[in-house]
Amino acid sequence: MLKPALFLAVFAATAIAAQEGSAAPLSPNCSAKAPVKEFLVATGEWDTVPKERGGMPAPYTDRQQARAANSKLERYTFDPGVIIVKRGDCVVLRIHVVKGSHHNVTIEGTEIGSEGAPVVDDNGAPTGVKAVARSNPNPYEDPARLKDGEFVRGEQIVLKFQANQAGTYRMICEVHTFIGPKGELRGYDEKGKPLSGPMVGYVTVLP
Amino acid sequence: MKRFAALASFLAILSLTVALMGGMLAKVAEHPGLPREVGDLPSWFAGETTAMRRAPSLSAPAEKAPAPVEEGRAAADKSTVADDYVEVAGGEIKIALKEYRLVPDKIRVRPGRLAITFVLRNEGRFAHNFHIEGPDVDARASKFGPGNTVRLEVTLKEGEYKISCPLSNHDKRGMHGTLLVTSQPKEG
Repeated sequence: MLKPALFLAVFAATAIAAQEGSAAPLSPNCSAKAPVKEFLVATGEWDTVPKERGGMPAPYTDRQQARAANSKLERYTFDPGVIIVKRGDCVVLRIHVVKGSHHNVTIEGTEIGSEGAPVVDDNGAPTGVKAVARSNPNPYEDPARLKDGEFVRGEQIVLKFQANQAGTYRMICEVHTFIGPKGELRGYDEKGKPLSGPMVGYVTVLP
Repeated sequence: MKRFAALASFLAILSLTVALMGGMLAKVAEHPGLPREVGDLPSWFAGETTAMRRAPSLSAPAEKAPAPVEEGRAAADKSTVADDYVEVAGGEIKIALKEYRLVPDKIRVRPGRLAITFVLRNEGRFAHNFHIEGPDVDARASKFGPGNTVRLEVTLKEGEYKISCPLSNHDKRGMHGTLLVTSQPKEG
C-alpha cells in the first residue's frame, strides 16, 4: 500500500503547486516550458467631427464635456483590444504604433509595462533600441524628448510576461488615459482637456 | 511465490491507475477548456484585486497613506516651521507612490546624516519608479509594481533636489516633489 500512497502524495503536491502558481500575477520572466502565445497589436484610432444636418461642423457634447464646433472627437484603441490566454502561457505582445505620435503601455496591478521594452523589427528581432527616456526618433512629431516607457509611430515594442493568475487585466496607455481616484478610466483630465481616450485593452487569463 | 506475484501485479496496476487519475485531474485543474461558471471566475479586474491583496494598505488608503505626512507635520510644528515641508532627520526616508503623487512630496533634510536610504512603496495601481536629481546626483531605482517596496541609497549634499517618477507622463501629472538639504527653513 506504500506505493499508491506515495503516488497520491506526489500528485496532491503537484496539483497544489499548480494551483498556487508563482508569486506575481503576471511575471516578467517566462519559464522555459511555458507555451508561447504571440499576438500582434496595432494602435488604432476612431475619430469624427460631428456635423449639423446641413453639413456644417456643430458644437457637441462628449460624455458631459462641451466641445467646440470643428473639434475632433477621437479615441485611440488597441487592436485587437481583447487578448485571451490560458494560465501558464508565456504571452508575447508585439505592439506597433500606427495611430498616435507616441504611447506607453502598462498593465494594471502588475509591473508589466513598456518601460525598457525592446523595439523590434518586422521579424521580431531586437533593434537595440529600447523604450526609455531619449530624444524622439521622429523629429517631425511632438514631443522632442520621450520619457521612460514611451514609443513612437513606426516603432514596434515587445511586452513579454508569464500569466500566472486568472482574471482580466486592464492594459492601458497612460498618455491617452486619465485615471480617477478609484481607478476609473477617463477620456478627459482634471482640467477637462481631452486625451483622446481612455485607451485600454484587456488581457484575459483563463483559469 | 504465486501470492507474492499476484500482490505485486495488483500493486502495479493500482499505482498505474492512481497515477493516470492523478495526471488527468491535474490536467483538468490546469486547463478546464472553458471558463467556469461566472460565480467561480475571479473578480473582474484582476489587477485591482491583486494589487490590493499584495498591498494591504491599499484597502484603506485614507488611513494609511497620509501617515508620513502627519508625522512630518507634527515634527514640522514642533520646530515652528511655517511652510509645508516635512522635516526628516536623514538616514531613512519613506515615500509612498501612487497615481499621481508622491507622499510626502516636500521633504527637508537637516545636513548631517546624508547617506540616505529611500524606502519607496508603490501604493498605486500601476508600476512606478523613482528618480532623484540635483547637485552631483542623478539616481533612479528600477521600476516596481503595485504593493512592492524598493530601496534606493544615495549620498546627498546641501542643495535642492527634484524627486519624481520618471515613467511616461507621471511626472507631468503630479508625481514629483522637492527635497531640500539645508539647515535653514525655506524662504518665502
